[in-house]
Amino acid sequence: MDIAQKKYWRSLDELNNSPAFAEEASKEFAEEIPVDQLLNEEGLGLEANRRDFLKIFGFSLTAATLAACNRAPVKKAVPFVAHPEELSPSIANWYATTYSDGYDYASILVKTREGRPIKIEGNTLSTLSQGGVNARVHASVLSLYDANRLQQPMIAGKGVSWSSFDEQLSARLADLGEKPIVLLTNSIISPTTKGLIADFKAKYPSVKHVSYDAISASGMLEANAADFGVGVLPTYHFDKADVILGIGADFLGNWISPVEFTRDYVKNRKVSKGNPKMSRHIQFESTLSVTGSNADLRVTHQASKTGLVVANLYNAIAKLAGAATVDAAAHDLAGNAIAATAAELWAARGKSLVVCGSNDPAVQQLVNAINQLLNNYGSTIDLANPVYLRQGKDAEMEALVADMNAGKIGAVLSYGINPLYDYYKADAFKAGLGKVDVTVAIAEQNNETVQQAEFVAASSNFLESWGDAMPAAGKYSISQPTISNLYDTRSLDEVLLSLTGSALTAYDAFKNSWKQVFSQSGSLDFAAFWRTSLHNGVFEVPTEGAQPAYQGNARAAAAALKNESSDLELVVYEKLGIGNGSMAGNPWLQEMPDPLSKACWDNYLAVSVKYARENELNEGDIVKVSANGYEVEVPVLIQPGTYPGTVALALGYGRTKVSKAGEGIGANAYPFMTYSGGRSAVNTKVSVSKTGMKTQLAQTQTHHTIEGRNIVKETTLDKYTVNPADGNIRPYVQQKQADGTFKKIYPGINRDAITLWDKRDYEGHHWAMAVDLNACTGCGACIVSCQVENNVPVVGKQEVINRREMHWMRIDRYYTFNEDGMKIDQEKEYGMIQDGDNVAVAFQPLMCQQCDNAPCETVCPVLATVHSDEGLNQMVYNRCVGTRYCANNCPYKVRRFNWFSYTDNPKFYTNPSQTDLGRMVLNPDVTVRARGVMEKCTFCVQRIQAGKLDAKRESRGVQDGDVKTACQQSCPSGAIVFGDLNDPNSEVSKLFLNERSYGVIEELNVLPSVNYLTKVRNTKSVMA
Amino acid sequence: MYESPIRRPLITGKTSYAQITDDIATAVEAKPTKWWYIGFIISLAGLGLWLLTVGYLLITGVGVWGLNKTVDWGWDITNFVWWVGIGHAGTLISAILLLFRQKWRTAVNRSAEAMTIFAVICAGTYPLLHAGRPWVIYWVFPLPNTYGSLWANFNSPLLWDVFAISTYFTVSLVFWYVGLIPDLATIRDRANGLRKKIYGLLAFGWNGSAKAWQRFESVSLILAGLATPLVLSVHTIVSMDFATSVIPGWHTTIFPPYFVAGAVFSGFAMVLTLLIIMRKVMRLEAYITLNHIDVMNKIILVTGSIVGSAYITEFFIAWYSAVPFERYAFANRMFGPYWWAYWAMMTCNVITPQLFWSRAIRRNITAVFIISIFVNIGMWFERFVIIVTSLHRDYLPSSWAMYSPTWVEIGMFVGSLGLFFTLFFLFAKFLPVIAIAEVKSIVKTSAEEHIKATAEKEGIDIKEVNPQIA
Repeated sequence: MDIAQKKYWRSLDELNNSPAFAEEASKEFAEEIPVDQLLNEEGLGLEANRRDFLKIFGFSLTAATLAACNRAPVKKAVPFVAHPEELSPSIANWYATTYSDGYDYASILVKTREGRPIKIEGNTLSTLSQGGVNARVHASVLSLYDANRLQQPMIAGKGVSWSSFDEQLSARLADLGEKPIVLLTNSIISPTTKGLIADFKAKYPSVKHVSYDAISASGMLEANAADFGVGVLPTYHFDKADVILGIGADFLGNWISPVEFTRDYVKNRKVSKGNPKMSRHIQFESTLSVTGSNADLRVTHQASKTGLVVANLYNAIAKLAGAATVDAAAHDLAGNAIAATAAELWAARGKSLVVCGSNDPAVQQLVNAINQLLNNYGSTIDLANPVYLRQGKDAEMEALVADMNAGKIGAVLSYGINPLYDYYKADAFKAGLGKVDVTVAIAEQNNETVQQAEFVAASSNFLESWGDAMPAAGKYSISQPTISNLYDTRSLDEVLLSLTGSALTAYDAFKNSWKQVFSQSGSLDFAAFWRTSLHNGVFEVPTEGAQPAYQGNARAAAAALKNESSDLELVVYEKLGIGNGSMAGNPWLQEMPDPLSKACWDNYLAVSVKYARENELNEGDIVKVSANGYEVEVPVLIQPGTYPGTVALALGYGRTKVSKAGEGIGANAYPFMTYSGGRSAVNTKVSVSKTGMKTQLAQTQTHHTIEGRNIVKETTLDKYTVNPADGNIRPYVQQKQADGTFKKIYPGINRDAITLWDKRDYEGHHWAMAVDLNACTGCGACIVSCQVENNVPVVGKQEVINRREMHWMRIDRYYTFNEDGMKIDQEKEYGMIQDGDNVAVAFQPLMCQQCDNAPCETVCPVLATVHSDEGLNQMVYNRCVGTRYCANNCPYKVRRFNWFSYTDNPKFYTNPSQTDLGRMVLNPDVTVRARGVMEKCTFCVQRIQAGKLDAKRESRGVQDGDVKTACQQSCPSGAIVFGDLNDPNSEVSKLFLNERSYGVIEELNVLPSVNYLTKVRNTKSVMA
Repeated sequence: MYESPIRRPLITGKTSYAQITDDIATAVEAKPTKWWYIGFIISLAGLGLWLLTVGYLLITGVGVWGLNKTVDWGWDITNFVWWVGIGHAGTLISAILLLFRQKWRTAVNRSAEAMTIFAVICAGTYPLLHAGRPWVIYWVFPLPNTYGSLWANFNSPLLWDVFAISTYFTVSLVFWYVGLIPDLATIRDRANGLRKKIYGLLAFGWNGSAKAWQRFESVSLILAGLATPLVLSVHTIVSMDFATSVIPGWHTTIFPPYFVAGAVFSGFAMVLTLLIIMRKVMRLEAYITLNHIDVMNKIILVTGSIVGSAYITEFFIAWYSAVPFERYAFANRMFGPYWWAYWAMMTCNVITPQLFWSRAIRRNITAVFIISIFVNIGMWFERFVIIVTSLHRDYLPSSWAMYSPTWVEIGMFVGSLGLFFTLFFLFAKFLPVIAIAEVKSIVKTSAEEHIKATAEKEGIDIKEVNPQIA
């Protein structure tokens, strides 16, 4: 804005600025105002008579009245004088960008409304995340509006300007001389940032870059370095594997790239009549993970014996392959699972896949050896196309902490990490940091590590920054700002640019680095390439690298296995919501129920049924867990599927410096980690003791069996192959025909056959949804996506305990126990459960079923819930008086009531819509509900409306796939299909006619518009 | 009028018209007793608690109760149905028994009707306050509005409820007040000054002429005719709140008759509870005799047995239906987490009234008082069992939840008792608790003295035919 710098003068006097002129200019009126005359007695008329008094009185009264008639100050919305291009009020703008925080990666599309990012969705153009987004990435949009964000750079706790920050930091770094400067970051996958780090190294030759992952894959990196000479992670192709064995690897939950893996995994799990084939998934694990809960065969084992299990599996396969075995104590799992699995894997060699979650390089080397024996490299495992999502090597971090404590380090610049919270020896790190001359934290949010840093560089949110990412070889992805900086912050790239003294902006640096990417594109026009890349958000080139040769030594690896175990072992694990804890201040994630335990707002010691019984523990009993000279007090949760001698505690809780929503929640489990060639999640020297205290866990589901009810229908692949409708007996009515015979009428299929009501005509659309129970992994991304899309309030722990969570959709989870061949699925049989580790899990997402004969509609006295002529069961918030009769009469219990005013009752401070900042994330298309009204899933009616309007503008009908609900859009496994039942060619119509399709409790003839497809397990019997 | 000497007397002791007027009107005219003050102050304290809890509820939201996403009705609707049920005895006594010419009703109808009205007032507070937005509850009325076709939903049993309860309240109130007019005139005639003016106004200028009596009788009969179907309709419609739903345990066609019987059952129990105290405190033993109590106990026995049979029928039908959800719902009542509520209901409602087969127990004031309390408790639990145990475990086990009330719900219930008793104490103080004029109408037939005289005249040995009198 150079306009303001030009000066014009009104006169020569002004130019000269003579004293006389200055005097004149300071006066408001050129003429002298006769104040004295007005204020003397005569002027004020103190000798006024009665008439004057009345005149003045009358005048003042009238004036006061008129003045009072003026309205209260009006806040005007100022229109854009110059309308910004592409920004129209109420029209959403979408930008393609990338989420990458060193833990989760996703290529995403960001929805902005009136300049505010409000929703994140997957970018289907990415072959990596393939349009899927997990719960954390969905919730990350709220981090932008987090009150805990750092708002400006600080030195020693005092806010400073960037210029003085740069100046002082440069001076301090320059003073260090030869002393090493360590740039300690999360796994950086941005080529631009890597270039800038190289520049930084060039400027300061003493710079050393260390990657640190809170949850590392160090064991795999080292194993691959040893076996293949490349310290990287391979690309896995779960879609190409016919037999998958997961050994403690939660690849559908949190392991490396879960969204990609889920997408791939599910491709080979969706069965159809034409293709009755699905992969066989076997899982060996010690605690129940989401991945394990989806397995066809799940066997538990002692956590510390992972190495032994892997070694025995190697031997079993080696015998089949005729290869040399390794020295390992013979060990097998329940039902000779290792031998049986080895046979299955061997039979599917070349099309099998073994993955392991251990962080011990020796174990991973054995896993490599197994995959090598099975000839999986080059087919299901691709090392020629490495993945860069985890780069942290634990040994480097160990060395760094030692060096810091030895006083050898001059400066530590941390970025995107929080080792003071999530490093297992945080105290040692803290002590070491005290001996470092210059400590710099480049961080977006105030956290434990920021607290200890002298220099704090407030960093921008990813939604405010330019940048890029290369999560895997040849897969480029761009980041672009979707909003200008809310605060005085800089992205990492900008910090590095200013430290190197470069005049480039982050945008320039990014664009420059993409000129190199451009060279791979084969395109000639950079401008066009640039525009396309910005539009698409991704750019992918096929890479052709050779599969590195296997040079591993299984015997040596087996010899290096640790065999330390004990009767009681602690496993620390990541939850799908909170993950590594960096987003623990996000209320959406805190309130997202764990897919298995259905608990939220806390971490807890998950124990097996057997352990609880033997130690007389009940749910909610507070126990003291101690190991490594560290102890915490946490409540107990009895988690079926846990190996009897294993207890588990989730990571990511117990943050001490975090946003208000995450304060005082749970206990930190990181200090329980141990080190054995890599940070290990297993601790064998743990003790658990009762404290005698009790608390209540916040669970959204407290009844865990299906009570033998036909709600989740299941079959096995064998039976499905013979009869695709197996396990799906649908209710019917016998109707007498004219000839005296009886005909079966299926009201669920022939929807108008039996009804007391007038036939409903859905002349336009008839919206419906189909959910494939075989594809749903239970991950819960849909729950958060729905919450973001529909402004669903967060209610906090106590209200979840009170069973009043507001989620519009939930995922029901049912356990079936298999004990000595008995199938236990009723509460009254609980007493028969001995170990409780052999458990089959079924997930069922439940949202409003939009019944055609909706029981809620008939009972509302004021017509606040009515049926639309497109088959939607509509909730009219304005009309609702709050009798809650509809919720009582809902057989699916999907209606949610606003028990309080969640937007302004201070008890619900965790709800984002309580602050001006948090309200920026609200979706303007969805009403924020007031106290005392009912709400529920609307099938994302605002998206239906938008889809119809788009179609109308383009003068065409709504096509299948035009409208995607928030849950459908977010589902990493594509389990949810939404569409028009009136269109016989729509996917949903076809699915409604699928042999596996059924409505939940459709015998009530409420005609739900949501149908489910039976779950098909690749087992010999329905029970695992 | 001739009355057989074998009839049991409905008024004992010496009875003259003047005596009756004195006995009943004195309570209105004299200063209240110490017991009245004690009772009234306790009731006022209850009312205060009610105002406090209701205020907190209105300011904060329905979330101050213990309800949840699965159990959306709890103590609120339990109390509503309980109070409505209690409000059933009054109209039944005054209307149906009037039509059946049951003379014994004259002693109890006034207070029973008053109790009905106060109980319906207490009941009415719940549908209002249970709503999430009580300030717009008037939308349940089919009011003309500017929103085009926006109207109430005539499919909703809750709307039928609104009509049923408001009609019932109006008719009961009118019936009660019309019956009061001659008695108000009696008090007016005995009073002076301001009191005379007030009662004069309230008595609508009653002059006791033959024409006035004739019209009074006609109106009473017409109102009785109007009120009779209401006795059956109100609880029938309340029961439809549940019966028309799809929830196992609610979706039951037996509900209308079963609810009506239950309502009469609980109404009579409450009338007994109150009358037993009142006759003692206000020394009305001569008018509310053991015979009255005996007769009412028989009604309790009959309706209690109907209710008991209904419970058993429900179970049979649940089993016979072979619907797994129904079967589970009923098994869950008996053996589920709320088993104690179920067995409290069964004990109080099915077992205790069976004691009334014994004449000795029917005529034992202490026993009757205790049993009447039991029935009140039992009928409260019946509503709790129907509402909460059906809702808390319905179709999908994932949503199953437990419900327990908070202090606000308990406070509101205790407070509504306070509201009820405050009104009842005011009634007992300022209005004649026994219908003076109506009692007088049976003196010449059913008073003890009269029966003795008849026997004497006919030369019958009263001791032989009617040992009770001797």
